[in-house]
Amino acid sequence: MKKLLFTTLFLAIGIGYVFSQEDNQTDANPIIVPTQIITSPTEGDTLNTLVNAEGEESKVAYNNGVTLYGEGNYNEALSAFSQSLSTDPEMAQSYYGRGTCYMQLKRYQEAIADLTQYNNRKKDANALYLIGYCYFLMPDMDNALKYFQDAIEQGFSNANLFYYMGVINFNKAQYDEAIKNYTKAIEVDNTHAFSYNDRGSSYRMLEKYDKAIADYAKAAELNTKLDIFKSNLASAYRLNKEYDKAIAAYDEALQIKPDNYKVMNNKGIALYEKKDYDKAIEVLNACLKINKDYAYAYNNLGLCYYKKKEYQLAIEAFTKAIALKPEYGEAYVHRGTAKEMSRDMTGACEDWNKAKSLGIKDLDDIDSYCEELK
Amino acid sequence: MKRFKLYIGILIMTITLVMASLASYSQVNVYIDKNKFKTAEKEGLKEALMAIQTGDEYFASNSLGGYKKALEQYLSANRYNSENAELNYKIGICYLTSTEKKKAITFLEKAKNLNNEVSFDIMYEIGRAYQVNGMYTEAISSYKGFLNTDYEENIKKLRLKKSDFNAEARIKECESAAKLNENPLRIFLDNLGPNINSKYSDYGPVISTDESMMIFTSRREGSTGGSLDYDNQYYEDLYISYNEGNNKWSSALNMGKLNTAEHDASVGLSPDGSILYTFKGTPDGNLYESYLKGAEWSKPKELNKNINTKYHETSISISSDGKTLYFVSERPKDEYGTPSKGGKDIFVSQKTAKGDWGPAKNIGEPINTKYDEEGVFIHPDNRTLYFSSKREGTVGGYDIFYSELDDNGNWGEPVNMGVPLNTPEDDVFFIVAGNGRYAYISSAREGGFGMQDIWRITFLNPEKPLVEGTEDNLIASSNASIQTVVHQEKVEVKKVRLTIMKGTITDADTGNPIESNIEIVDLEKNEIYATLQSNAATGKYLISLPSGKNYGITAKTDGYLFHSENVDVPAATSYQELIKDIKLKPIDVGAKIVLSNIFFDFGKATLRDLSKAELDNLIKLLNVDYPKMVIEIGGHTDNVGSLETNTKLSANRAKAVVDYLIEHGVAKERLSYKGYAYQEPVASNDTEEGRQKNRRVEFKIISVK
Repeated sequence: MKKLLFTTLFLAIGIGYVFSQEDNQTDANPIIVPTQIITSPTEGDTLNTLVNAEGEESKVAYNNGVTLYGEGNYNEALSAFSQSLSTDPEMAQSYYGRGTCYMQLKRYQEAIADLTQYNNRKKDANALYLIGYCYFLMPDMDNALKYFQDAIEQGFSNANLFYYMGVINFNKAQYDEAIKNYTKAIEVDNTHAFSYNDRGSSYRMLEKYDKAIADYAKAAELNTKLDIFKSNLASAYRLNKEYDKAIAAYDEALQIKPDNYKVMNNKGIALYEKKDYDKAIEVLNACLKINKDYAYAYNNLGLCYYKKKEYQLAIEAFTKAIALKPEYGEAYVHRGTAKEMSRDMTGACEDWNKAKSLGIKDLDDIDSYCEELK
Repeated sequence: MKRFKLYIGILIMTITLVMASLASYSQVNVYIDKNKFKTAEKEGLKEALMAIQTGDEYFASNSLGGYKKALEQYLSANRYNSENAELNYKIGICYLTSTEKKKAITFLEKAKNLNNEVSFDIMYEIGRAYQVNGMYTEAISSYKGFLNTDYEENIKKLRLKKSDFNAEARIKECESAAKLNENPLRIFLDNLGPNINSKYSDYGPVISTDESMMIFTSRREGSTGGSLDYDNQYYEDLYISYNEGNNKWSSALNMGKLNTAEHDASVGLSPDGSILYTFKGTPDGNLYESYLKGAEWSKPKELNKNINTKYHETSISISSDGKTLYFVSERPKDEYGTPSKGGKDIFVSQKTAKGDWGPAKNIGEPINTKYDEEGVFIHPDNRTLYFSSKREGTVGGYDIFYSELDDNGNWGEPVNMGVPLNTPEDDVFFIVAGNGRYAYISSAREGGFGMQDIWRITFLNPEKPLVEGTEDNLIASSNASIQTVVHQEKVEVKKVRLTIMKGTITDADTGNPIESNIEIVDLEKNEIYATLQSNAATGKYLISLPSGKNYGITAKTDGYLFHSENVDVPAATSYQELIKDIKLKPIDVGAKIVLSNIFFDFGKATLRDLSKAELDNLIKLLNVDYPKMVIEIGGHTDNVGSLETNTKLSANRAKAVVDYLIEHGVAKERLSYKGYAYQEPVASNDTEEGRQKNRRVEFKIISVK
């Protein structure tokens, strides 16, 4: 029952995030907050479970809160826990219960305050872990890391904790540290596919593609239902310039999730890098059939036409990318370059200047260049 | 007769091999058997056989013109029977030398399909066809196929040159080309159009550094003498054209008196366009120079024996300071006894104090190799040497390379200019404009007017980074995507560090052009950097000033006050053009000029050493040219500071000049000075540029006597 309750609790948190996160494109890499909780982060504790009330008002209210929480009525559960605390301000479990309600309601500061009250009374490493987790979700990675470390010092250890610490390291571009934490997670749980995947991503960021490939392959072996592992494996192959293997792995990812337009776009890139521009164009057009508003695919389509010296078609594709994503600086650079090759220096310079105004670097030469070739 | 023809052929080839960028052609003249050629169709057979016979005669000439005419005949015969292997082979060979090289593949492949033993070299020729069309994988495969045949036996049997069928070398060329093709040169290649090019061979362009004038060689109809040479082309004549702006060139004009009934070919031009270098193949291939005097070119004069020898000297280039000649010679050793590296090498000669060209020195490694070097061109920046070479790493025949001079005076490792500039055929005579942005080359390419044409190259800046739009969900527990940008290596833009100063020199009163001496002095070293003259007919002048020096430029001619300019060009200065029209003032009472190259310590009246050259000009004027002239030196300032301070400073500075002149023998009675402070400005004091013009020292003629 306890286990079921916690599983329900944290799956609910996870699902909440899955649906709250917009699946959009981003310019700057965002701080990555996990949107799926793998398993319960706590084990073996006695919290958020019914107690023998014996007519005590605070305990009755607490039990009421636990029941409502279990039903997913977090606001009502929160009221019940608050009622419990109004009659017995020292009832530690009610702080815990209310803290978890706040967490569900994304009121992290309040959640942290209640979980701290609980920890002050019970000295529970699990509470420290949850406080860290709240910070993690806020996101306040420095505090998250601090509480995770406090939890570890107090003897708390599970794969997820190390996994989250790895994610924090990854977010801070501390890839070597991330690898250490993901490795600890794997040592605790050698079936932890997410840790294999993320460790692979850390290796990828360090351009150690062989190791990345090995980790992604292991993740894909452990979990055959998610396409992300195959997709990342494919991208690692692509970065390692093993294009045929990359294309095969992208295809396997697409078998799992045929409408994953991002994977299809990446497959198009693999073909582009393989200089198979015609096939790349075919795949990118298929990608755009799934998501006609995917600016990156138009950009890549433009690159293919550019390489084929079909500059007018390239310009058209880049124009579409820009229309979908007006701040897309690289697409302006590319369109400018396609115009340059079409001998439209005026148009090229307009685009390069726009790209420069959007923050694209390495365009220092354009002023003198445009003046010379105008 | 056959032997005589062969001799003439060799002689002419020594001229045109260099001029016309020819690759070596096939020596195999396969026989078309009449009986095998004829079909059931009788109509047209006689004409077709006649065409083949005529075509074979042209084909045997083994020349560009011959192949062109042979092709017309063979194509005519092909209309009767297009399924003859030998005819297809010959048409393919002709197309290999034409501007329609893609067709060579079709005909040669067809020849092989009809009879894979049509000629022992069919696989080699197919390889060449693929190679010249940039299909390197296919070319390598064909060459390897050729190497698997018993070609050596056939070469021996047919008494052919083994080097004409060097498939191993061709494979290396294909490999080099494939590698260079990974990062092709970003250029635009534009045919210069019908005002320059004709359906005949037009090649060997030389330009003034500002691209205002071009001289080239043409074998077009109407050449002097009007007769055809052995290779079925007219004799070479020199033509001239002028840039009318926006890359529009005037209709090329035959250079008249410079042309003879023999071959007259352009091989070099001084950066200011006043000295033309030509090549004459007879008797032993020598270099000549001709000067532009007013509107006329002087009669070509053979360069001295330090340059010309009994061996071939074929191309030449003069540095922008006029002090160094770079040229190509086949001599076995230089005048210092250093043996040549092999074949044609590049040599250097320095101008002597007497103004003649000194002993030639082999430029050595890494420029020269055991292979041939040709088509030398020194850029007016005097630091970049362009040349053609057959060294290892070419994409075929001669490729264009460049080498840069470092600060220690050593030439850097030559760099292949890359593709598509370099082609599997000979790429020779590459001329770069002063700005480094444009260059000129002649070649037989698709889109031309026929045979060799002159093309203008525009060098584009390096390609801007191409960034793929890619996203991966790197963190398994998140939906957030990460865009990884693979950054391209930043490519540095090679900057030309050169200033071109040009304009006209005229009489300040009449506006008439003046032929004036122009002396360029390196002020830091107080030594003459270069001297040249403006053109008598137009007054035009052009000076190339490599960055890294402070130049004092003085125009002087009899009867006029000298005019000085200061052009300080720091080392990092990129290419720029300064237009400066100079009006020389006749020597007369009241005439005054600015002494632009007199410098003082900041806020003081202490003359800096940089002023010496200008002061020496003044001393010569007063002591030698006009020993009775009386002058006033006037000091002027900008309006920064009080009138009192500036009056004092300007007077002290003028006095410093007068004191210097007295020290150097000018009678003090002939000199006076005055400080004008900022009361006679020549420009606005509102800008730094204007204030700089106002800070000056002038001298005024009080009397000449």
